[in-house]
Amino acid sequence: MNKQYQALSKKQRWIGVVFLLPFMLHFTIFVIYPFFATVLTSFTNQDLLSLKNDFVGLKNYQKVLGETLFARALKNTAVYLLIDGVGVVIFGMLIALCLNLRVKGLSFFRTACYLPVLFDWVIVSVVFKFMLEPSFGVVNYIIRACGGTGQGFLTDPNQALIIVSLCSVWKGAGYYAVFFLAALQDVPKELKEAAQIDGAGRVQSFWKITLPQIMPVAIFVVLISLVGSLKGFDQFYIMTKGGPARTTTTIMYYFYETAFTNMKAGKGGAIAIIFTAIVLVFVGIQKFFMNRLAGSEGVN
Amino acid sequence: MKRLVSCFLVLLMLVGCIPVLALAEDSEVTLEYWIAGDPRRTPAYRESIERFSQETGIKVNITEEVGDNAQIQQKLYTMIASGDAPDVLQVDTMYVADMAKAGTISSLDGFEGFSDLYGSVINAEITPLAYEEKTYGFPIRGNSIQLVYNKTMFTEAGLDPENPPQTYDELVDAATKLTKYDENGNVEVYGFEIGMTADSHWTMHVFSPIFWSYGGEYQNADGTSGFACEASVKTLELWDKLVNELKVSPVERITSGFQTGKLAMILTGEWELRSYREDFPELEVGFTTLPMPSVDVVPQIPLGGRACVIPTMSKNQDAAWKLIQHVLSYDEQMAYTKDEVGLGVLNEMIDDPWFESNPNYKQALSDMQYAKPKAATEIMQMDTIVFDAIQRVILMGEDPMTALQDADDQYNELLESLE
Amino acid sequence: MASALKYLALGFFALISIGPFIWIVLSSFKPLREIVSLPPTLWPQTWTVSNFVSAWNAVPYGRYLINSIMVSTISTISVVFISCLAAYSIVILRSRLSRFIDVLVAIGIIMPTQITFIPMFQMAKSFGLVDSYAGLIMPYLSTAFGVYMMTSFFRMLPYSLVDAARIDGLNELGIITKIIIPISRPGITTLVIFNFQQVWKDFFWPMLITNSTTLRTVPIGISAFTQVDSQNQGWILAAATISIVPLFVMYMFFQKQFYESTAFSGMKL
Repeated sequence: MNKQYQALSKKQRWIGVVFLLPFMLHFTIFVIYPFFATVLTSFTNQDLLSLKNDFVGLKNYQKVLGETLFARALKNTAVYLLIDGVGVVIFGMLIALCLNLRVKGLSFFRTACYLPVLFDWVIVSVVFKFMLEPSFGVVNYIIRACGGTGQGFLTDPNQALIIVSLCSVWKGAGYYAVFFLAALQDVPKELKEAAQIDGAGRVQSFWKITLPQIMPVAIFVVLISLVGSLKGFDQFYIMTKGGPARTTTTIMYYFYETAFTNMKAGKGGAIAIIFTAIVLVFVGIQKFFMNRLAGSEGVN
Repeated sequence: MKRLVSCFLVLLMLVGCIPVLALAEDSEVTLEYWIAGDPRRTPAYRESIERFSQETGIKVNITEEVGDNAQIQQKLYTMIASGDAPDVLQVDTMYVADMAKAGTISSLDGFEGFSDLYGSVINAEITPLAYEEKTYGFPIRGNSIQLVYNKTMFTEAGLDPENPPQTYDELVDAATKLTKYDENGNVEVYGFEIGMTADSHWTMHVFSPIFWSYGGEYQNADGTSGFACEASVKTLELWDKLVNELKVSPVERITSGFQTGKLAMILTGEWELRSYREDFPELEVGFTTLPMPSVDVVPQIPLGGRACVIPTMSKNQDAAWKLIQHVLSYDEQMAYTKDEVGLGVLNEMIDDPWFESNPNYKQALSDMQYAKPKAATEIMQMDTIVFDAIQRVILMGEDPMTALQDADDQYNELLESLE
Repeated sequence: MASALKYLALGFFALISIGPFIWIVLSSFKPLREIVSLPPTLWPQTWTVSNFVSAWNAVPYGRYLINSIMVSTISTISVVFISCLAAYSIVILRSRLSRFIDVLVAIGIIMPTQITFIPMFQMAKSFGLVDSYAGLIMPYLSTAFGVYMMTSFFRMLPYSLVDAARIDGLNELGIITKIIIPISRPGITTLVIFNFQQVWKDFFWPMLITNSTTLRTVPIGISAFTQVDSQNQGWILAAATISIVPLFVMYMFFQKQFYESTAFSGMKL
């Protein structure tokens, strides 16, 4: 793709380095340095509470990997990833397909669908907790009015994780819809028309024409959304504090609780590093499959 | 486009100048004082400090803390770890021992006038602020929890509003009578609330007095975890009975539920009285000491509130001490109490005529004699461990002893790892 | 028939998305008693602005709003600028560092920001930036995500444009400001909206780095209401309304371009 344009002069290459400098500098200070600082911390028993700070080797890693809570956190993260990560992609796509229709008042619908993204988790939490309150919440009120039995929602260990995941889908789908919509708008009309002349139905033309056309964007969105769910933290901190009975303790929450609430920076660092390693492997695998799926057209 | 670039550069330069400007400002002693960033409380605290500055000439810079308790502590510990700290701050009483142990706050015993001040504070409120025989903080406001009930609902249910339940049996009985249902059998009013919240802190506040009343202690005499015992089983049985068996209490705390008539009796403290009066003037609030297993058991109620401490890093220790003396003076303590920003902590306050016209506050103050600190090693982690066990029993129907044994194991492991 | 179906689908998503927002705004005008009443009301039976008055008086919202707008604006301008420079270097100038950069950017996107707080605070402390605008804005000045987005976007640009500009004698900075940024406007708009709201909503760093009320941002104003001993939902909802309106205005301002943005699928020129 890049081949068609002129070779660069030495000066241009030099400028290239200068242009990169602001980012590199900022990135080194605010991401790379803290990252390595965390790696170092993970080999110590640093504790902000007692101000201990001695080298302990791999002890933190052994401890974390041996904990049942860590295994549970991994499992919770996986469930959340499955519901939220996949949910936002599917709903993002559906919303984008709807918003791509030609109807009157489209800008209203677009605004409406993007609104949840603008909300702070603190506000989302206030609203949903209020509506899902088991005894007097609106949702149970409606369920009871329809003859059902009231649910525990966030207070029910079997439902809490699913509820938080669904809230995340609600909040996140509009964000990813923006990417899908941009891609959908660029699918050449002629292609669709040609398909319709060939007698393909709407659904068929989606699978055969639209989807392959927006594949690069889809891959990008899947990658971003899955990494986003893996990193998800605010929703758990604000809505459930990892409970009830640890059922919404994800790795990120577990890290936060260890490093910040309990002030065990060393152990927290180990969790963070293990987690980053897991995500990197995960993204690597994902990229490998996605690149095969997309052929050479992948965004990355 | 050029304009955009130059705008950007100008903005960057402006931002760069701000710290320089801030540095150029002052050179004399200014105390850094952290207070609770609660919109209802800050005005009174600010006024109090203005009086201090007028009297002593010491300038004070007030920082309003924000975020939940844990976040405020995080900020503080992060600052201390980076070699920075305020001169005086209010911390939740339960953190004082841990901070003293780590050596991050100063012992106050050596300051001039310490013993006088010590003697003037209600004993139950000052003793928990000690570590290894030295005192590390002074309470600025204290609270315990009470049984708060709706008098109108008591009358409606045929109960005597002047004779609130004193024992657990009476409590269960009253809760059953006070619970109301609509025609479809759905609860309209819960008789009582023994609700959890998402974070462990409040749940432990509710668990502790019942646990103590049955003779339990967080840690055994040898320092090991003391939860797998009969006291906690009994506590959880009572809890389970109220929530799951009789269904006279919601599982989770209902925000504003009492004010809006969805709860007849709740556990809360003096800190809510002001909003009841301001936002719900027609509410007839009853306010009484927590029920106990039987009338002859002396109540032990978890101590809450905030204490003023001086970080060891502070360079203005003497001025900081003066500030503590000021905020604990009789006038200031009465001012806080009257402004309803926090109940004062001084012994002689009980005789103040103001309390005669405010019986609920008088009740709260006299209950302070029963206050008992929630003190334990690594209290925050202990909280989450026990909270987990409580949830497993109440929400998932697990056997109490199994869950508590689990909690014991985890807490013991934690305690061992600290050695 | 088909058109009815279309509206049904659109209406469904719109209702789910916008419902809570409407509830928040309308409820913030109700007295507390009505907010928590059962059966719930949607339209306020009694209108009151007392929630707003209380919330506005309890917390210096005016100041917080100005700070939030300033921090979000400055950082967003910076992010756009730095991202464009970097992406240009990676894509057009094919800097030798670009291979290396790809990996860095991936790490930047993946790494949880929470782990950076303590080292970042210590750094701010050693530069004397605690409790200053500089310290507050510092970490937001560039993002890996921004570079990633602009890189993806520039890859779709027709290179003939750049070549033509070079023949016209424009230097590289000139090409960026005169050619690349104007034609990349849709992509940049997307980045602006995403970045602005992200910085706007950030809570933990502002709380950590600021002590003075004069430096604080809107999310801190909301949390002041959610943490107090005696919560008042009316106040919280009023605070929520106050904080969401500026974001909403900004969104409406950019909305048209936002949805014309073809950030990731090639340009139509």
